[in-house]
Amino acid sequence: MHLVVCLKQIMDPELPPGDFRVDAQKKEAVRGSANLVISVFDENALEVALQLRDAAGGGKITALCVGPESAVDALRKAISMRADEAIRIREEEFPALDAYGTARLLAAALRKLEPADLVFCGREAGDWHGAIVGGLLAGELQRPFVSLMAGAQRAGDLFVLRRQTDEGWETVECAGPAVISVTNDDANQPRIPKVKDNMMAFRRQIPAWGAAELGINAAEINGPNAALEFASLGIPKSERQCQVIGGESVEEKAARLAQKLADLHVL
Amino acid sequence: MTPTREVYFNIEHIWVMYVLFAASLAIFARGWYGLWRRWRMGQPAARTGPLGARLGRALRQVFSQQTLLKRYRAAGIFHALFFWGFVVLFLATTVVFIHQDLGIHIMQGWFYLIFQSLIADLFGAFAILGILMAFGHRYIYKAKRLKPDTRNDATMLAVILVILATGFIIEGMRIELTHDAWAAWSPVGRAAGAALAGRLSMEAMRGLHRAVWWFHAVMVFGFIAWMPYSKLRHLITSPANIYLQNLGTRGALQPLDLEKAERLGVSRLEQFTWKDLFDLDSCTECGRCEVNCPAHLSGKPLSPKALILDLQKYMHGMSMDAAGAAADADAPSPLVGPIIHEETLWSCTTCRACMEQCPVMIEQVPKIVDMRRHLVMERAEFPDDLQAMVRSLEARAHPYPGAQASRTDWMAGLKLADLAAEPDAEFEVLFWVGCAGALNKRNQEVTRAIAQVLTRAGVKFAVLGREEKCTGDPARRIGYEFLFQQLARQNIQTLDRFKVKTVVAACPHCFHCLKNEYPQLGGNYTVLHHSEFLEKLVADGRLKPEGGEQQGTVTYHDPCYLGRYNGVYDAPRNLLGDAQGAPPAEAEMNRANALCCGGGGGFSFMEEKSGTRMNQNRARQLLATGAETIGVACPFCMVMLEDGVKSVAGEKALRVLDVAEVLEQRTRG
Amino acid sequence: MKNVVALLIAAPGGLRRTEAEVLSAGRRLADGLGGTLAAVILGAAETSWDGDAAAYGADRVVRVEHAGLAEYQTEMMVEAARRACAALQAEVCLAPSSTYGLEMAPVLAQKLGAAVVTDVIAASGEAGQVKITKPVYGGKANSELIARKAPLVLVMRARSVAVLERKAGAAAETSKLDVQLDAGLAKSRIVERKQEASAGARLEDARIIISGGRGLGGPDGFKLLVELAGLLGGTVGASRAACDQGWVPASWQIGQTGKKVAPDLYLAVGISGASQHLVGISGAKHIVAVNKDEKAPIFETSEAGVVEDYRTMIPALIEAVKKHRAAQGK
Repeated sequence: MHLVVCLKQIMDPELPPGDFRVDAQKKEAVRGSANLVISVFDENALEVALQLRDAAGGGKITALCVGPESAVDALRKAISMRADEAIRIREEEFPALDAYGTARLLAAALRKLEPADLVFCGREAGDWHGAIVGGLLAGELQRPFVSLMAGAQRAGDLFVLRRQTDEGWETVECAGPAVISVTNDDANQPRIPKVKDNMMAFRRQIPAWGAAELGINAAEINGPNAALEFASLGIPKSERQCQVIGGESVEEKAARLAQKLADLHVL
Repeated sequence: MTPTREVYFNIEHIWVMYVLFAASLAIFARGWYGLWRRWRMGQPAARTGPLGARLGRALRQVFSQQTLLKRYRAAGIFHALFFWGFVVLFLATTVVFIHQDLGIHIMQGWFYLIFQSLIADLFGAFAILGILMAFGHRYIYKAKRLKPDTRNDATMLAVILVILATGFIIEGMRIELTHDAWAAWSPVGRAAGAALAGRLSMEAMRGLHRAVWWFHAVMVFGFIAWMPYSKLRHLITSPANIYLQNLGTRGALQPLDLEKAERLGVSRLEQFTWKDLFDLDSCTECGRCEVNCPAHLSGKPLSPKALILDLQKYMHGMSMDAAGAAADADAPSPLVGPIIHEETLWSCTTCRACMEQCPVMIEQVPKIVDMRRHLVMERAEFPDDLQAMVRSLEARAHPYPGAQASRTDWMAGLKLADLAAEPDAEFEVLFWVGCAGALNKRNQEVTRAIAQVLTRAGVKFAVLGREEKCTGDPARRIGYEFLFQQLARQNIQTLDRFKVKTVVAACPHCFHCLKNEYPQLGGNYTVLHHSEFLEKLVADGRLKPEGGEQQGTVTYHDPCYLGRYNGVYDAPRNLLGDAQGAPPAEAEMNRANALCCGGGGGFSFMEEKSGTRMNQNRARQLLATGAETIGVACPFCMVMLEDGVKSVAGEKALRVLDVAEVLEQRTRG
Repeated sequence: MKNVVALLIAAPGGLRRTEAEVLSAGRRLADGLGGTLAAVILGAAETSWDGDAAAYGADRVVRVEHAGLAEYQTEMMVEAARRACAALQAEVCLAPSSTYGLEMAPVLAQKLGAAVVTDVIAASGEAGQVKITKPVYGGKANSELIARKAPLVLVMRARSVAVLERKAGAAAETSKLDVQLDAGLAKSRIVERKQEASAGARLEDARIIISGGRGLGGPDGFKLLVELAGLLGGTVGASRAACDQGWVPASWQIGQTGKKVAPDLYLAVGISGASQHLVGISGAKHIVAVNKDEKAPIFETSEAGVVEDYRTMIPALIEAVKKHRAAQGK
């Protein structure tokens, strides 16, 4: 069983609002002192893959990341969590990638890595929240796409997936090979690596593939999303004024809050 | 006639005694050999030298019985009584040996009268008194800390009592039978003899003397033989353990060489150092650790005493063949889990009360951290809350998952030298704010108060702003040495880059870590807690706490990492005293005995899952002083006690203020 | 760009708010572009939605009926949608604002060769261009995109679109599109469906939501919220932190990656107010917060707040509400 997990390295999404700035010219967030981390749902995806492999008692997990040199850290993190292989796709060779371009790069890498039974993505990246690369990748590879998975199990030739829906949960059976996207769940909280795995990962060389290795023409990589004009990026202002409900005792505060709720016609 | 006595008066076939003695010594030696083999399984530790320094300190501590007399004075007194009784009787027996067996006749003259007769007689009596008090303490007063298993104690005490009592009976009968001219020098023995003389004929007494003499001898040899197999072994191991005490920096955990270490932490008993194993056999089961343990007092599954005794029992029962076998790092631990439950290890606040209390200097906290290291670094198994904390430390270098504040929020409206923004700013001292002081809303107020007071005193200080990272203390205490060293190295680099020499830290955990643990990694700075630095500013007249409002009556809660770990008890009290014009009221447990607020060792980031709440227990003690304000000097204590006070006594019961806030109010112009 | 298509996945019962939102967004776009709005209803059997779709502004209603669309299945649904879009020469296609819509959108876009944007909170048309507003960085920033080229696939964020007033009696040209779908397309199949037990209405439809976060400290705190919700006729939600800890089911999650909600009252208890969470409640009419940290950012977004520990506050509030009701009843 070969499982491939696509990871994205992003600026720490939990950067406090007070430290968050945008560069209106470059139309991106200013990194400042923020760390780079694996996009959180991608870590959930890796965890689901790890659990699936461990339950099967064997198999291989390859972590893939389209990113700059710094993305090696994200891939090392994946190795420290016990992914077997990691490959970086040199983003620097493909400036201004759109979602189609990213999906096509991943698809090209996957063709080199075949056979892959399941390809995992996070439900969306924690910076741009696109939630589209997984579906586009499935399209590129002409494979079924199942999104918002919390967990996966193997049953013979089929994968049994647990999907989050608006109503609750669905169990989806899917024949491999397929592309699935993973959402967070308490069952797929990313594991903390053991220290020896951390140190092993630190020494690991991470191969990088570029246009030459992937047999791709960098100029033609982008798709229709590149035609969208990115007009502006700004920080919205909140103008609500909060009325603090005070009181001498909890009971008094509670009585006033109840009155407030009645005034709002929600009681 | 030279005062002396006949050694084997009325005793025949004395060779039998030598045979019995040799047999008891053989059993004794065999027992110790077994223990020694077990200690030897442990890893190396530099705890034997320098001889002079250690011996001097140990003799002083052992012979003064100071660790016992300091607390639980009654128990300390009776222990001192039989300790000194034993010492004197042992010396007296040695004198007999030298006199009789070596033929060096020292047991005569004034020495015989004063030491061998009077002193030995009186100290024997003291020992009996001590034993009786010990019985009373256990079976009449029923001291909680001595439970469970007092049956062994009863046998032990009874044996000692019988030995001492029969000793006096033999002496008394010898005095009667020999019409000893020096009887007045042995008042207790003479009294025993006189009591018997009226009831027995001389012939009967002669026979009885012989029988009791042999009985006494057998009891003594039995006692010797029994020693290594029971807690009586502490007669030897406890003083030895005091000799082997940690002479290094108090409270600094041993660093691991992560590059070279084959194992990270302790998953098998033999991975402890030999000194750790020796600790286990030094325990006297006195329970002082347990009754001062915040975890035990709040019903958590940790008792430092039970922990040591469980380890001891496991060590004694261990097959020596299995020990030392090269263990696969991934093999399940026979120790952590089966013998010491994970939940036990996650109940410790590392408050050090157990180590402070232990009269024989057993080191419980490092053992707990060693086993935590195994859980965290080798197994990556630890409570979810702490995993969230670790993730936050890794991604954001602070232990508060979900924190919405930034490290510079508290500075709003203050004019400060922020080195992250102005790297060339000049400064004399670096104000180390700490994550709690920067990110926790309540403690931001304390941070502002400190900055304001420093400004008022005209101190040229700077802060690291966004360049400051967690010192790594929470990581280290939960056993994540790897993460601790990463964070510490980054901070040392930053501090060295700004050529920092003096650091004033607002958090005792940061303070301890910077002061006592960073030197292990090459970070050497003069580190002061803000209470120490502010006290000095007041003493130097740079701050005059004369204005503003007073706080009414104040009590003070000692933070573990300021008090027990670093011995800073007076500076915060003096600050409160200066500000109030009267020393703070003392709570039920204070200074070195202070009860932990429940916020250390990772607990500030973890829910208490069992028992009662530690912070409420401490809040009750502080509320009982009747003070209107609780003075604290630690951001964790602040959060814990504010919450504790509110839960116990309601919203507006009383204020919890940092000593710096009290000073800030009193130095307003 | 003139031809706007709103995709609706048929479901039992009447047209729901989710569909009304998609139609309303489509109507506004079509008006801005000077074009028309076609509603495409994908399903296995006839629904009662034709009239409703017209009432919310559809100029045309196209029913795509096929037995293979009875159960949602991505590849089948996408293929049916692709055929409908081709037949209608769709230039802007609005996918449903649901987890299914989110799943279909990129796959459909790939087949149509379309640009695709999800989680859109505003889309307006003017002079042949579509202006798109999409929050990014967990709601800390908004991005503005302009699409000049068709085709374009959009997914509007649920509960971010104001529903148009329903025009009863509005008529639309209704037709049926026959499609042949190869059942072999379906590589996955739903074998079980489980509705998560939640007291009260669905979060998306709830009028009152009592929501808890990390500050609750554990699953027990939620029992108090459930009690309060029961009293107020509300539904209990949660922040991601609480769901990730396993204190409550993941389906209770509200925020960037959870449910988007638009209740009349959102009572946030022990929720600090990270931007990722606020994203999910921007549609709430009134936000009220209970938090013991007076500086928690949630207060900046709330119109009223109480600084108090929920452990004492919620029981007191339950009592106060009962008392208030009793007084009203007199």
